[in-house]
Amino acid sequence: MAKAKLRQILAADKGKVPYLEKQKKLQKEARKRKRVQDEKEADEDDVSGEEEEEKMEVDGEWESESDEEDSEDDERVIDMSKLEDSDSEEEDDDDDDDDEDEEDEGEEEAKKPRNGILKSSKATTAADKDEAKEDDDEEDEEDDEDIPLSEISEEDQDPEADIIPRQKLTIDNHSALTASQASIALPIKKSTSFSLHHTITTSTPVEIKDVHDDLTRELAFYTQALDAAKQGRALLLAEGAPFTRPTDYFAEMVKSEEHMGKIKEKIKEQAAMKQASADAKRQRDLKKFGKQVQVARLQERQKEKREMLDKINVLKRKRAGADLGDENEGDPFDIAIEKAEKVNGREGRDRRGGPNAKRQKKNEKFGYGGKKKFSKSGDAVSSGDLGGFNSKGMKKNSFGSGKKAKAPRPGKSKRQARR
Amino acid sequence: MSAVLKSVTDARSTKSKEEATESTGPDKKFRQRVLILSSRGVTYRHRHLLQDLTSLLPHSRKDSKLDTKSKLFQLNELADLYNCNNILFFEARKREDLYMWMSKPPNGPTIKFHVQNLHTMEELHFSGNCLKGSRPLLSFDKSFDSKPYLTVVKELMIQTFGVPKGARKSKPFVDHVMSFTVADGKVWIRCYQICEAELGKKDAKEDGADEGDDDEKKKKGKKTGRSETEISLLEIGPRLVLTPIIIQEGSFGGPIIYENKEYVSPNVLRAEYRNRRAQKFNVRSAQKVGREIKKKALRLDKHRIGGGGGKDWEELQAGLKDLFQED
Repeated sequence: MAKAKLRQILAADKGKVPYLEKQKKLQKEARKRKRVQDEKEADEDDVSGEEEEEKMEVDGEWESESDEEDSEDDERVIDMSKLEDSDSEEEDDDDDDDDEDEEDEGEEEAKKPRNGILKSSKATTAADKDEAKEDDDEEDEEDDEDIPLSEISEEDQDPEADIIPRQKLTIDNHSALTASQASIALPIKKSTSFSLHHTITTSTPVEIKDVHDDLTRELAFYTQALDAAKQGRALLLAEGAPFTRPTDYFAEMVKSEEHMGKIKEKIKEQAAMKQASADAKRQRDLKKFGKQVQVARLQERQKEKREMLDKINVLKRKRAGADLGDENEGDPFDIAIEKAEKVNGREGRDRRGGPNAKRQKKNEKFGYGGKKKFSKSGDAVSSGDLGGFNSKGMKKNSFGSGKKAKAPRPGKSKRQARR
Repeated sequence: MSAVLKSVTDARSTKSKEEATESTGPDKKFRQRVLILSSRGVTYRHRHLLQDLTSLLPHSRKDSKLDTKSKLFQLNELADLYNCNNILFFEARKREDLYMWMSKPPNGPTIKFHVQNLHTMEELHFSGNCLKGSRPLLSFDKSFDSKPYLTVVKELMIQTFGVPKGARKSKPFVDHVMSFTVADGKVWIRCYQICEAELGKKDAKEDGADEGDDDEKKKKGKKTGRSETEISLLEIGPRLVLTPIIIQEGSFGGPIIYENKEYVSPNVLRAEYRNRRAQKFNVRSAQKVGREIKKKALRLDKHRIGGGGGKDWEELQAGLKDLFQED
């Protein structure tokens, strides 16, 4: 691996793109092997002798060809595992003893379809077996997960595609990881008292459906911590270790008084804001009906006032006993009801009782509403108006009032007595 | 060879001794001391995070900013100087990206995290609070045990964030929980205060209808001994999310034994974003050039068109055909 890295760095220095280089090498090798095999079949006599020369010759030809191929049918299968293997194979190439290995691989390569992904995994496993590497099986699995570059390059072409090209060589050395974990691990056993380490692991892995949903995520964290707190509290109390801080124990806190004050203010402010917004909303709703409500209320008030006044007036009159007929005497409330109905019947400004007091005074003083001269004298309309005329009335009374004849005013003595 | 033999035998002997002490004697105290420091070029938020962590970890030693970003192995010496066996190093890049190195000098593993979604206590306005120096309960997600690299992460977290019993500035009471959760390939860290509301057994039946008489309840609780207690949590802060990037076998050195393939550097993301935005301009400018060429071709051959036929005419026709076919 170290060698491979060095090579990469060197290539980078020279300005080459390392993976393209590797691809080329790979393809070259594959073709070389095919070629070699063919020739073996043709004349099996002296393969090993010629091999080196053949390679030298072939290199030049195939390089140009391979370049063409590259551009033509975009055959860019990069598989990291394969790269690793290729590195090791290159090293092996130097010795001529590994002919058998090469033959095997060559056959396999020949069998493979060109662009399959599956084949790579097969090849790697085969190669691993051959070389008896110490790599773990899991590494192979991870390698299988790697995406061939051909797919990536296609994705890269359209800009909308998700950009996480996973072409990095992943390292996950399990044995080394476990070893390093073991080297630093605290000697925590079941017998170790809980108060020494204070660590609690959940019984089941915490699963969060959507990490980007703040509410559910934070709830999951909260429940995890809450369970741990309960569990830890129980364990500590069972061990007799102190847990709760007594109320008379004062010490410096993580957040200072000042900071807590700020937080309190913030909370208050938020509450106030909430309240204010709620109020504003209510007001807005009210405003829609506010006008109507106000009008109704004013009306009510006016009505009450008028009723009151009427009642008072009636009572006053009753007291005075001035010119109240016998009929009206009995129930002063009839009047009130009548008047109220009238008030209800009327609408708009008229109901309010005209202009204000000052205006009224001025109107009295200076006159208002056009000329008053001849206002009581008759004119064409009044003389033509026969509304009040009744022939019966003419006959009944000497005066043509048309009204019912009132009871004559009682005599003085009677009036005195009534008082 | 003799040296190797000696070391091996030494190790064996010490191991056996340790085993002996463990089996017989009482529990050994864990000694932890954390060196907390940052690189140069941190922003105020990073600084506040550091402040929060030092206030939460009484066994920490805060040091001045480290000058270098390349020679991180110097940290080992620094830790040795301060008698620290844990290092928490924050490396700021470009005044926006924060990386957290967590190491176990002199030869323990080192983990490099990328810190995201960082919110300090200052800006979070959580109402939780705890004693300065009280020991936290560490709550771990079960999925920490699922993969070898996560076990290493967990172990380091236990040792750096767990305040050892009897640490110098620590308080004997427990009033907060630190929770570590693995989600989406990242480690999420939260810190909560434990609020206890004690309920007597009778009160519990009544479901705590009267909350005014807290003192009475507490007295009752004390009388009855271990009464039923309601525990609730209040978040304290800070909040952060860590994406593991690499794990090295040594302390700020040695071979890389884990590398996260899903990690994408923020630089790459930013570049991609910029490129995507630049593409619009590129397309438009290319179109402009193409149009320019087309125009020129047309104008050049205007006077020749009158001539008609001939070699030039055919060439022009062919050229124009090519041009329009391209588009």
